[in-house]
Amino acid sequence: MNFRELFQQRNWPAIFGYFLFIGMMAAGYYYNLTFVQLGLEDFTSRQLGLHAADTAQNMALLAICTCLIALASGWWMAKNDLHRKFQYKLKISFGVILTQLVLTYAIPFVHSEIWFTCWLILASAALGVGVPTMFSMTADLIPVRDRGYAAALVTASSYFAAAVFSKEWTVEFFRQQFLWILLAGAIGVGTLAFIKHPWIEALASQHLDPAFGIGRFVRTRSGQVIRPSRRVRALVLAMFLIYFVDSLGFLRMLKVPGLMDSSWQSPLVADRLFIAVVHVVGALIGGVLYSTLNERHLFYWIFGLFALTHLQYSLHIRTMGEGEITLALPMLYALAVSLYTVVNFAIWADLSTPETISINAALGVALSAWTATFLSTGLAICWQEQGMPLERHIQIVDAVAMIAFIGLIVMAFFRKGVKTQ
Amino acid sequence: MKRKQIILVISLLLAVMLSGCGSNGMYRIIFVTEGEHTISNISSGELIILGGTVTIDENAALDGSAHLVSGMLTLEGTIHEDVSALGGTLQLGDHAAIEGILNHGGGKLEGNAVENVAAKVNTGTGIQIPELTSPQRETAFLQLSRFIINAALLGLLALGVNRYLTRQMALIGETIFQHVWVSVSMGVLVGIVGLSLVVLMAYTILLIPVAMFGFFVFALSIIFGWISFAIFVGQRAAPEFSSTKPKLFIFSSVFLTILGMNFISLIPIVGPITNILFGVIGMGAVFLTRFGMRRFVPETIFNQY
Repeated sequence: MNFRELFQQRNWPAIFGYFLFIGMMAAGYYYNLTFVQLGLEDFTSRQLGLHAADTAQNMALLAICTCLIALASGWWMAKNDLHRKFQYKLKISFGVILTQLVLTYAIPFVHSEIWFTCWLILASAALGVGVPTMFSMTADLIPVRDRGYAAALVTASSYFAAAVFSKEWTVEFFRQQFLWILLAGAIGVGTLAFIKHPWIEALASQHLDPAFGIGRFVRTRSGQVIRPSRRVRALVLAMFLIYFVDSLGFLRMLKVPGLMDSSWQSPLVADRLFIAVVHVVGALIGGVLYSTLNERHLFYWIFGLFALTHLQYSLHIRTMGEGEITLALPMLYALAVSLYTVVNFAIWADLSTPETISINAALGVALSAWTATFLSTGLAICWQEQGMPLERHIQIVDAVAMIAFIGLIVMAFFRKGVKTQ
Repeated sequence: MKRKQIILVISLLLAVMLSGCGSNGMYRIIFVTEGEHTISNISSGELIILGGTVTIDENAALDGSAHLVSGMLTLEGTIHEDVSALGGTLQLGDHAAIEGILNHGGGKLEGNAVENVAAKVNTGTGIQIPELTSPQRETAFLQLSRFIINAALLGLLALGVNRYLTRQMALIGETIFQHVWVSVSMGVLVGIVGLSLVVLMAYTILLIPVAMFGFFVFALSIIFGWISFAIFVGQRAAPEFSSTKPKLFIFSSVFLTILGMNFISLIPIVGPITNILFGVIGMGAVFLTRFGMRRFVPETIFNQY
């Protein structure tokens, strides 16, 4: 079953489910990309006047809290069979959006580090609860065959918006943008969470259909579900490495005006539009390839692309210094980032059944994304404080990407079957 | 065995001869990246300055266009076509003459542009996008001849290739038609990453031979894609003809398809995009099937719902 078939059947509730999922995930990721990752860093350094090391500590706190809360709420959701209660998940999502709206509104009133720490704990609670809840809706709203394409649309729209509409990377700018988005989201999701409508009831029972419920990498043999536990561990590790490589490189490049002013922070709309279009193209390619290729091949491409991109950057820095770059470099970077984001949005649901999706998504996102981001942020700041030259920093990132790429090829030779439980 | 080798050599020669079908024959570009250079007589081709200093003497001339990206261009003589300055410094001497258009988009301009430029001067946002001009305009007859020779050479090449790689060609063609979006996606990815890698290798100087090999593989994959596409289309359009006269069928399929693509390329904007798309799809299918060595089967969804 896929979108085309559902459309031919005039199954409007299912089609509405696509829009609901893509809209919620895209808005959530856009918020995370801009307000949380860029806005908070600007807030701590510019508004609170914290040093880089203190900023890193605060971001680490956010990452650790989010990680723990995500794992706890994922486990709690699995234990309480929340996969059966779609409207309950909508109510939790409404609570998350409402909390984020209040927190976003309140940020200008935070004037000291202690209050900021409190603000961060609340923010991490919202993020931590939001991750397993929203990811678990994949089994309710998106059929297995379309998960790659849905993930592509989520990635494409969030990166496009982030690249084009983020004119200033300041907390005030992002706050102004998100107050309206979150308000609209809260009204929309709140309405869906508290009304009784046949469409919501139809969506609530979709996970019972195996075309929606059982992920692509979960095999069934004579009615018995074979859980891909080895695969989950391998993919958590692979995604961890990808996030690590991405954040470690980008966080340092972020601090070099020459590299940013001619790409992501260019004053020219055309430059930012170009990067946004590359993100969209990369996401669409990722969506098509995710649906048709083995996930291992996608990981080859992602690590290979990161290795090539960082090699290009290090060559540029060695020959031309830290000055302006051509758009070919961010083009490769954007392509790699879009590909792995598509995988991240689709893979946790595809490794799960409706019963396990919340805990798998929490494990995947918490252990790979948040832990990797926290470690790489700390390491990037530490190396910068120690005075490590940019060229050397990028070379190390390149080496990690290259080792992962070669390691993946080597591992393919020692591949074993999935474990039967 | 001997016959096989002769056919292989002829096929390779045909592939090499295709390079003679390049759009306008001899083409010359002078790249300057650093140092001081002087043009003291008549020099033909495009002059692209990315750094360093170039002086065109009073009695010297450039029979082409100049593009100044960075560095310095001191003009005392004549430039027969356009000058585009995007950065750096452009110095116009008393006897300087630009017979075409001066596009001043950025950088510093010293001297009197109004006196020295025969055609108009575009500045700021009004500048035209720098374009490498053709050294010679092709007549319609020459263009048609080039199209026909190009298509005929590829047709002959297809005969040679298809004799030994029939199955491979069929698999590539099948992939193009059955998995068009996957082919496009893979083609775009291979194109972007492959080109970046090849340019990066060429930049190291040491790896230029590897880069050249990479370009060769690229070109080969595009040609393979075109031939497979043409044969597959032909088989669908005239299935009887393909079995009764297979050799003539292969030649005519490829000849007509390539000729058609050449004519499509004449349509502004749409033509080049269509041809790039053809190349990308073919290349994607070639890589998905590993040059036709295996059938491309999409990763099946284990639970077939």
